[in-house]
Amino acid sequence: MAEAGQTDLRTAFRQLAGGGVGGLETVWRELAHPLHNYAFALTGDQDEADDILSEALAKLPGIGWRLRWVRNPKAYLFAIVRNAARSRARRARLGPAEGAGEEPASPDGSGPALIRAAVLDLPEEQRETVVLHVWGGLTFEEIGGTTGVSTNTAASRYRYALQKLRPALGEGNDER
Amino acid sequence: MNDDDLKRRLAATRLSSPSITLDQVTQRAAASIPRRPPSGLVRLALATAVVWVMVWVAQAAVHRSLDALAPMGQAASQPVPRPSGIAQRGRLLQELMADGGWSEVGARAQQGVAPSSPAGSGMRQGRSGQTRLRRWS
Repeated sequence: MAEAGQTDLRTAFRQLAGGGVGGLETVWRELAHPLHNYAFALTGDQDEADDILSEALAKLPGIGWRLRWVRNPKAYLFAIVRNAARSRARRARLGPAEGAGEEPASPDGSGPALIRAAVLDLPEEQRETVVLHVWGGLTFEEIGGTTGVSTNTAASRYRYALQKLRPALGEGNDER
Repeated sequence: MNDDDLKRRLAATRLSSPSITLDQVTQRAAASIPRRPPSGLVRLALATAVVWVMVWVAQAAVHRSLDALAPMGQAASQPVPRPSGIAQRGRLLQELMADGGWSEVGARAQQGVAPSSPAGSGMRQGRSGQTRLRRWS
């Protein structure tokens, strides 16, 4: 299934490498939500995430023939989003993590809002690892390649993040 | 709850959702595409034309320089034969002999007799007591 998605993305990249925008539809269908989640996790801001997603995808046709040589289009797209988020943060002289985590949990402290707030509360490295693995579907090896750390480090970050997320995910309630 | 269950619960939660549309992204992408480069066939034709022009210019330059040399005649284009080292030395020796001054030296050398000139001027005493011509090298 994931391999089929990668094949579609490779086909889309070949179309985009030719200078057209035809491949964008496939990229959007396969990865718009995961990429947006990732951008949101990095910035903690919905509008910023929209801008980053738009900027990252609009950049693709301009990259041209080099897209033909991309081995892992999925990881490549997450890396583009990461770089876009970081360069925007640099421009704004604001670390990407600073905006994150400011969204308060819903007053009743339950459901998706609580989970979202718990994810945004994580340290930046753990937050992006969780988002890339859970919502992005990347392996730890791919996450390591995207974030510039080893596979083991990525896996450790994920484990630490899950430990912190357990209470928000109802682990505490289950034990009661 | 194990890690897989936690992962499933997380994945079921929508973290965020894009409020932009594919059309907006496509329009932005279309606007940011740089001027389309020429196709492969056009590039090949352009490269061939450039190479052809360069060859033609070089050929014309060669022809022009050959034309400039032409009035000097055929002899100019033929190399003057240079005498070899041995032939040159032989001719010089002949000229010296013809001069007369060296004929005596030559005759004495043939007889193994030192010329009247002092030692160091071309003759020296050999180990056998005979005077012989120094070998010039």
